[in-house]
Amino acid sequence: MKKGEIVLGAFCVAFFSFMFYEAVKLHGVGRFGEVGSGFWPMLSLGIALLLSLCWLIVTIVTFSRAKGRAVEEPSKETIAAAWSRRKKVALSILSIIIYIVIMPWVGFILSTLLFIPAFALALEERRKMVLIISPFLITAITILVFAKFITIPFPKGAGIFAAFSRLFY
Amino acid sequence: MFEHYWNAFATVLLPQNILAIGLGGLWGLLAGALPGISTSMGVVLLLSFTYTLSPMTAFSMLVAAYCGGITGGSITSILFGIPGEPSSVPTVIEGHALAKQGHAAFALWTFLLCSIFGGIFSVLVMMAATPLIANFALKFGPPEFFALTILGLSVVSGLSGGSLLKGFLSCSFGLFLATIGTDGITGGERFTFDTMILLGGINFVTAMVGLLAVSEILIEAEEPFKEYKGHVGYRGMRAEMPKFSLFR
Repeated sequence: MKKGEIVLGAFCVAFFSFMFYEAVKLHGVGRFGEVGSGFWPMLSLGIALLLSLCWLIVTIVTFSRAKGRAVEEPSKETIAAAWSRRKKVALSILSIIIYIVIMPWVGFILSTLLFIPAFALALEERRKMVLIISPFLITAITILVFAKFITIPFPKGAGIFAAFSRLFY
Repeated sequence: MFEHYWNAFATVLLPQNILAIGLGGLWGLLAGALPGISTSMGVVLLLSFTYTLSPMTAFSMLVAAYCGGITGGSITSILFGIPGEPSSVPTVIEGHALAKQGHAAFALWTFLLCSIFGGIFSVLVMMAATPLIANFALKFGPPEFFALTILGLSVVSGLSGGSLLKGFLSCSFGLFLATIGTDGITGGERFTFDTMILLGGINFVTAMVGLLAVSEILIEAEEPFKEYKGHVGYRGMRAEMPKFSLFR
């Protein structure tokens, strides 16, 4: 857990440092006598950078202090369960990322039809009826409510996928 | 003055207005519960259906849709930890925690009763105090708005729970997100990285759904709802109704 926090803290420091560097470039954009475009980003990012540095240092200190103490080794079952949960989360994140990436190319309908069973499988859903029926049902309801009724423009995709999407919305 | 109130009360009780309030309230509940649709968007969508109605019926429907929307936003906050409305984000903290313990019905009852009481009480206060509040509100200038913002940010210390450091870090990250897009004063582009999408900034609802809904889905994926629910069985809606003593 602490190792994860250290990685996250280090990521925050790197991210806010990069963004702060970008914010410094904005310094001077604006008219004389007014707060320029860079003031608020530099202020918020400066505070965020300082806080994330503090967080990282606190986590490293806590981690190094705890390292010396004797800690009860987790059982094999606990480790296996933790790995299984991590695998589940990683697969869920992967399916969400793939869904977001492919949606503009293949359109909302096809990507959702693929995403729902993939996400359900990642969450260890194994009932065949749920895996077969839910993608069609959820996609149909979403299209009906959002695309037809509220006329929200969902991505149609490109080429043949766009032609397919135009059949429905 | 009271005859106006009485006339309004009698008009609202007309059958067509009661029906409009019912339908508007139901639509508002649905719009508020859906994370992508805000209450104001729900009201705007309903607007086109009210053109053929009389002004009084149309207003009744729109007001009911607004109230329903504000109420509906908390349903998904309690049940899924995903706020349907920006205003229902605080409900996630305690409402969803209760749902995780298996007391979703109790949380819904409490929220509903508080909503009814709060709604009626605020209407009564508004009826009596609107002229005074309007005069006071007109005196609000930039310093007052700034003070109000600082007050809002200081609430972070109360909401951050375990770690104050992480609370303030999240707060400053939120402030940074708000700066993305075209600067309203100078017109300069901030953190757009030459993309058109970020010119308009990050929409509040999109950020809310992304940060709260997706994280909640991943938490559920790691630790399914049934695992941390424990041994609390569902006792039925009536049995879960909170006792009056809770509100004293």
